[in-house]
Amino acid sequence: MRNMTQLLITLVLVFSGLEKALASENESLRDLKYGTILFDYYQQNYFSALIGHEVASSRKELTHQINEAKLLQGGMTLSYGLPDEAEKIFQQLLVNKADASDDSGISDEVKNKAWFYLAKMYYHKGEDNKAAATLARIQGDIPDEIHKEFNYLATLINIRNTHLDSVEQALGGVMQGSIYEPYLIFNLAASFLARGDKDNARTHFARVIVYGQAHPQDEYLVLADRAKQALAHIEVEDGNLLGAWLHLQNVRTTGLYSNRALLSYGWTAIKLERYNVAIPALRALDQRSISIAEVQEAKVLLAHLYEQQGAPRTALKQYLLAERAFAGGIKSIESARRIIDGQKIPEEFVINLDAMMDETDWYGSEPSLDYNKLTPFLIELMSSNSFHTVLKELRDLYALRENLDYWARQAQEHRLIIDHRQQGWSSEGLKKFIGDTEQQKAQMEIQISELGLHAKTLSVKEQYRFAPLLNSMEADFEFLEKNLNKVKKIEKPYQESEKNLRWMAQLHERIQQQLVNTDNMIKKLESIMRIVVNAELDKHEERMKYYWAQARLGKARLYDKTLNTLEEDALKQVAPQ
Amino acid sequence: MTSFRLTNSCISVLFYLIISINSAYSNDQSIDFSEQEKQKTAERALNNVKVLSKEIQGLKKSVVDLNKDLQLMEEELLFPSSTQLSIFVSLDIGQFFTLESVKVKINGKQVASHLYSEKQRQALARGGVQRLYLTNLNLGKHKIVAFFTGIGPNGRPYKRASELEFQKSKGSQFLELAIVDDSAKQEAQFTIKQW
Repeated sequence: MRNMTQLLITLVLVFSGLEKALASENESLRDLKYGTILFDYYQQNYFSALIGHEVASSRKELTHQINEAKLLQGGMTLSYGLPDEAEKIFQQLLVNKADASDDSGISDEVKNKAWFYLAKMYYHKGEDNKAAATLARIQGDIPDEIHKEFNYLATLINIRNTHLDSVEQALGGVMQGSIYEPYLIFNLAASFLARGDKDNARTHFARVIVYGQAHPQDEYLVLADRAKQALAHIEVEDGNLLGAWLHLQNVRTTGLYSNRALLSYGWTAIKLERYNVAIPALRALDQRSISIAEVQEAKVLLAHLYEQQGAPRTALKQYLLAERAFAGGIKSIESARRIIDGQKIPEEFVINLDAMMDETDWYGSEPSLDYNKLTPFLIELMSSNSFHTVLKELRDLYALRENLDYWARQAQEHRLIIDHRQQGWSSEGLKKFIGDTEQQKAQMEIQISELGLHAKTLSVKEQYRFAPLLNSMEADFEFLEKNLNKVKKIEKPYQESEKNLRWMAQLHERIQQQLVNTDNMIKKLESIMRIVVNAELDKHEERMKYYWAQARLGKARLYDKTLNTLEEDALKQVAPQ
Repeated sequence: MTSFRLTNSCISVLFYLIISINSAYSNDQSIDFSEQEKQKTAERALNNVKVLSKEIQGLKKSVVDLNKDLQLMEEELLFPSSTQLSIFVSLDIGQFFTLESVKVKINGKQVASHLYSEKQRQALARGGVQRLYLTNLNLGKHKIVAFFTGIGPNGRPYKRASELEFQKSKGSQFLELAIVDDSAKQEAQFTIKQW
């Protein structure tokens, strides 16, 4: 394993200094069909691109870029969510190379790319050692397109295999200035923390924050927020509440990660007995959607804080408002349950997922569609890989069904065309058509010659006017005559071969079979989606009921206190008498 | 091909971090707000997806195969190779011309037109080739005219046309409308290539 690491480091370092050494391809030797596959691929239409590849391969239209096309096929297959098939394709490509002699035509570029994508796939599958071994197979120059990603992957594998010194070396060298740099630093810091090395974790989380300041794009600012929260966590663990509080002060108050940050900030301030600074943070949370767990906790906590500060009237008001909010929240959950039970909702939800996920803030805007009401409750669920897989698989299945529906409609047209061809023309029909047309032709010939004669009786000026019309008519007639002669030569009208008809019928049957299979699979996944979503809604409901009960208890406590005070006051007034 | 960013393990470390930061203060976050049995059922259901995933991969592959066969059959039915003509569009670099639309006339009749999106332009510039039009054509002489509109050098609207007389022979025929940067002239060249 140590050797493998060293090899990886060596590769990362050696390749970093290499010049661009790709030989220019011979532009004249290219396959038009390879270009059409690329056209779909670059637009991320992997399904169409894969079909294009299959069609071109079966027609043997990929003659000049066979290996590049194979590599592309592997990449497309992987992107389309067929990792097992992609693995086979890459391995096939590489095994062919190993078996063949050096002049097999497979360039090092193609080979290296194949090793790279294979390694990347193993990494995503969690097979780190296999990924490292595969990446180490890359030899010679690294293609430009994958150079940065190669270094990144090598560093990620080193992080997973906890070769953190090598990662630090890479960060100080090849990965410096790369777009992946802050992510790698964050991953490294998290790895140090997981190993209990808090000092190094602190240093690297701080680097992520500095990076965010130097590159104030939203992407890096979100990462910096995460780093600040992580630093706060380390300080809390060390009992340094003031340190944690200082880190939390700098987390932005908008965006997905702001809820936990605000709540943590509030709690730290309470622990430090700085109640006045805790209140604004909790109030900010109090304004947000009731579907957020932190907001639910903040509502009760805020009331409790007012109570502790000796402001029973404000506390009571907050408890009452909290109760009303929880009642509304429970209603929202009920409505979310009704929505998910709707027949078409999973499909609409999955199809619109991208658009919904692109929204910066789900809490900010009022949803206009039913299924949007569902999403605030599913944020945590969305971050789970397995649920995300369900959504992705479902999205692909809906796309498959749409494709098969299209072909089912096309199948009707195919049958229509065939029926028409079979019924429309027979040898007899053809003979009759020729006879009729010949008669028409003879009549037209007479009419044209009569028109010609008539034109000759007109004045020279009129003849001059009619001449182009007559010429054009004669040209049209010649065209008709030529076509008629062509038709006359047909001995038997065209008919689809029996073989083609059988092939077509088989394909139409396959469409129906695949539609059934796809529908069954969709039903299974939709049912899983409903179970998981309902379980998540249960969790929300339980949590909300718990805080609702807390709010009721708080309210009752305050009423009791008020009653006791009134009774005590009454007793005090009675006592002197 | 998929991209990296935060690794899964680091996401889970992060998730643990932000959960635990609150549980360090209060007990509420550690309360299990769910019925164990229902959550277990949900977990089991999600685990089932891994098994189904293999079946889905098989289904996807067979639908791709079916699409291939259907496309081959449909072309045979509607566009037999004896009369088939395909028109493609390609763009080499595209530094001197931003393609906005293409219009094609065959024998004086407009048969195809296309308006390009940014995504399509990028795909063309990176080496993609678009199949613009597929049709049937009689054997013999024909004339094709292609009109290209877009933005030329200095950001000015640019309109160019290119034409070709060609002989449709037996077998499928391919025409490529090629837009190639000419660095010497600092402008794009528009040609129709016969394959």
